[in-house]
Amino acid sequence: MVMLFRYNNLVRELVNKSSNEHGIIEMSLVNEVLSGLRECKPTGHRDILKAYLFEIRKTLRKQLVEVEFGCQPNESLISSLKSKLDTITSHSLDLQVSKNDQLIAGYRVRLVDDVFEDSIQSRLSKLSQSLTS
Amino acid sequence: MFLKTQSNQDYPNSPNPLLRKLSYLSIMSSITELIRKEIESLSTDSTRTNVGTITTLADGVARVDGLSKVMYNEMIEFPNNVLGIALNLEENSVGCILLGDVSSLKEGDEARTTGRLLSVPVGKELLGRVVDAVGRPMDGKGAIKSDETLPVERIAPGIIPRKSVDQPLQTGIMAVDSMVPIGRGQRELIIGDRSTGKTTIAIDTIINQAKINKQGEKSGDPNFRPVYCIYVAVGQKNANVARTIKTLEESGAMEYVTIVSAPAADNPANQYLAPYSGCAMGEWYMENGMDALIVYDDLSKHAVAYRQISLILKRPSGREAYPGDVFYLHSRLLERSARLNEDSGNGSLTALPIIETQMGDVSGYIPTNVISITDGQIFLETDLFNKGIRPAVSVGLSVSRVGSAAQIKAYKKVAGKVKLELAQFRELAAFSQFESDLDATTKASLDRGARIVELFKQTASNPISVEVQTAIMWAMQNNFFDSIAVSDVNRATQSLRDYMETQGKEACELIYSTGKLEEETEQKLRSAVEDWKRTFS
Ligand SMILES: Nc1ncnc2c1ncn2[C@@H]1O[C@H](COP(=O)(O)OP(=O)(O)OP(=O)(O)O)[C@@H](O)[C@H]1O
Ligand SMILES: [Mg+2]
Repeated sequence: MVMLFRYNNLVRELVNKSSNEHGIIEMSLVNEVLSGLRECKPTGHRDILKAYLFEIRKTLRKQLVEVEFGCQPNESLISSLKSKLDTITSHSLDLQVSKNDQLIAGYRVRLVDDVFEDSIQSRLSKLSQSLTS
Repeated sequence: MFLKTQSNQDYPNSPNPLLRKLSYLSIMSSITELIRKEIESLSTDSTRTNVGTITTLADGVARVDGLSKVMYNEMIEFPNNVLGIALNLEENSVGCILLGDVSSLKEGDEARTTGRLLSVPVGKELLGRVVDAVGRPMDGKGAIKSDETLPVERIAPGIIPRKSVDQPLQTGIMAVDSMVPIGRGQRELIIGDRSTGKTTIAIDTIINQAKINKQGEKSGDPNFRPVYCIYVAVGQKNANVARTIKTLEESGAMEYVTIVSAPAADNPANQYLAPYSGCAMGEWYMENGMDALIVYDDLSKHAVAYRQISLILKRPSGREAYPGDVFYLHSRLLERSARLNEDSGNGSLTALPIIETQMGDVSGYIPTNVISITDGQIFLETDLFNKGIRPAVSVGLSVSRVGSAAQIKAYKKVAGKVKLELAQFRELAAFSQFESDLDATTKASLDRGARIVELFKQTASNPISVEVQTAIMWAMQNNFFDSIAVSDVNRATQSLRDYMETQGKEACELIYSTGKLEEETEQKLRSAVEDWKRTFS
């Protein structure tokens, strides 16, 4: 982990090269970066790749919004959510909508490491915690 | 609304049918109102939490990816009700120490912020209880019904609310009370090698507080200020903690004591936290205008637990592999002990930290640190302990920087010179071995010194009240012991003590109530001691 920090600047540059003009990471650009690295065989190739993977994951997570609903979501709900989210963040987001029966009802939105949640499940767990503690 | 429904309750039995119907309607409407309000209060906005995932997990420390909005020292929630505290906030990850059973956690588990700092229950409900580092009961006596909590990490009182030490805290140990007196709000270090009676001094002090508290409560004096005690056991063997609890219970002191225990088998995070938790419990008394005493047994093991955590968190290590902030570890803890002034409620928190040395070396890293933070130290010597001079208080190396200002007048009068006399004796005794004939003053000093040494010998769990101590010291200063053989002095002390607690009670009570040694008191004391001397053989 500590070793990987050595390649911080290089890796940041590589991630920049892997994303298009909107800041979205693209498969083809990633392939280009990888083949470029393979060609010039830098020292610490393996470590650079590891750090690159870590950074790419982090960036991808920033662009991905996981949305879970307790019931079957309809189109209008999703589009209104999307417009709301666009006002929050500057860069464009990739919305991944799914249904999660465990929530029972309500929603759960995950944006990077922030979770916005209002569901029966979270309320029940809060209730059970307040009763047991 | 509640009142309305209750008053309407009379109407259902009313003979008037209209009134009966009306009352039912009114009850119904108020019930629906109640439920509607409940629903309204339920539909709150969504909660926002900050989450992360565990990337590595080792030795009670988790590294968490994410948690970008975590605060320093914030409580982190892991699955299965495991709690952690964020200690390292780094660029890409957060280092958390884990409290409780970590065996259920695994890599990839979700961690979430709580927005709270770690808090422990505080208040008098904790008296007589044994709790762990986060204030959960460990004694099987049921839940602790305290409705107040305080954060474990708090800022020490500043300069303005403080006041200098001016009230005594009697340990009941003659060697300590006379030579290194302690005042309320003071921080006095107990330092010595292993098994030199460090814990015993602290426990005796607690037992003495309980004795004084009971005496004070019985007297019904409205100005009496009891001292509540907290004993924090860090990194000790469970058997030792059990022994301590037993001693306290047998002496009837437990009702004034809270024990915070993080034994050696506990994880280092709990050992690291326990002193701060105990301190928060003590601060509650201080901030509510009461007096408390806290014993940290011991801070060497606390430093070791902290070193362990720091090494796993990959913090840079310095001397003896301790991290750079090990001084701050103890300074911020001990600074929280204070004496507050009248405007701030007049409370106090006295601290008795304990440090174990190796081969009597007080110049080790942790000992020097803690010595420099505290207001003096009681140094216990292995040599003295093995010679049977117990408590093994070293005269030369023990000091109290502020406590003498708090000694009661009567005691100060009789004990003022004793430290000097004993120090002189130790010095003279060292070279008198080579001299064949000694001059009269040297011989007198030697005689006096040898008797004081015997006088100060005191068994464990046997504290002596300050008024009886005053009487004994007075008898010594007024040459009543000079005619008794050195080997008999200890027995004589015991016998005088018994006498003063029974027949000679009157003089002692005068000292207790006035705190002074006036002409009349001294007269009574003299006749009592003379009476005793006649009976003693
Ligand atoms: N004043 C005393 N008179 C007689 N025995 C004593 C006295 N003080 C301590 N002892 C005995 O000495 C032993 C060690 O005492 P204690 O446990 O207080 O030492 P310690 O320095 O705290 O030891 P450790 O390093 O294990 O914590 C105990 O068995 C205790 O009973
Ligand atoms: Mg001990």
